[in-house]
Amino acid sequence: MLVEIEKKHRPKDIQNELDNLKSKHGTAEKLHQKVMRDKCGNPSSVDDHMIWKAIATQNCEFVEKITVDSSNIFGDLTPKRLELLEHIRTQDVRSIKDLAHELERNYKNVYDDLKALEDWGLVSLPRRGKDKKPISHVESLTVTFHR
Amino acid sequence: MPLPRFADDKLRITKERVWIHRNEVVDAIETFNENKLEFFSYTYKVMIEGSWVPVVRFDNWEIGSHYDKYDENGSLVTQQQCPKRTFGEVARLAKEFRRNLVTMDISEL
Repeated sequence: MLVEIEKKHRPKDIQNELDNLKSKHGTAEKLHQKVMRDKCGNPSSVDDHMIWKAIATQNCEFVEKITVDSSNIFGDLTPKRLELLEHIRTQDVRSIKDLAHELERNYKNVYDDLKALEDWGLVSLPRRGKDKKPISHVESLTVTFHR
Repeated sequence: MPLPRFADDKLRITKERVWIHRNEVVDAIETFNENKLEFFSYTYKVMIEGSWVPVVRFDNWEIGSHYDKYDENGSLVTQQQCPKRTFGEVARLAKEFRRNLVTMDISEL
C-alpha cells in the first residue's frame, strides 16, 4: 500500500517557508556564507539555501510530496488529527494555543496530536516569537493499492 | 514517482520525502528552470536521538554529480563523483540496502 501526501504551496505557504528559513538561519547572505564554508559537510543547510534561493524568485512553483510505503501511518491518522490537518490547511492559525481554542480542545491533546503529525512530516511547528505556529504540509492524501 | 509538471512555469522547486522505515527516509530537493533540472539532492537519513542524520547523499552541489557518505554523527567522511541517479533509483537503493549503503561501493551499484 502506497500513501501519497501532496501539497502545492500557495503564496501564504511560501511566505511561511521564508519566515521559517529566516528564523532558522537569519539572512540569506548568512546562510550562503555558511554553505560556502561548510560545503557538503552540512547538507541540510545546502538544501535550505537552494530552497531559499528558489522561493525568493517571483512566481516560483513549490510542490511538496511525502510517500509512505506502508499502512503504519494510519495508526497515527486519527479522525481528530485529520480534523487538525484540515483546520490548519484552511485557516491561518497563529499558535498551538489558538488552534486548541478554535477547536475547543485541550491544549495538551492538541500539542500531542501535532507532535505525532510532525513525526511524519505532515506538519511543522516553527517558532514565531514565544509561540509555535502549526503549518500543514498536506493538501491531498491518496492511497494506492499494489496489485 | 513523478510530480506534476506545469506547462508555462519558469522556476519550480519540488521537495519530496519517501519513508523507508519508521525512522528512515529519503529526502529529495529538485529545482527546475524552464523544466531543466538545475539542482538535485537525494539524502538517505536516519533518525538518531530525535534528529535526522544524513547517511548517504547524492547531489550536484558545487562539483557536479557525486555522492557523500556520513558517519553516525552526520560528519562527512567520503565524497566521490558518480553518474547522476534519479530520486526513484536512490529510494530503491535505500529500501534495499538501508544502512549497509554506507559501507558499500555505491559507484558499482
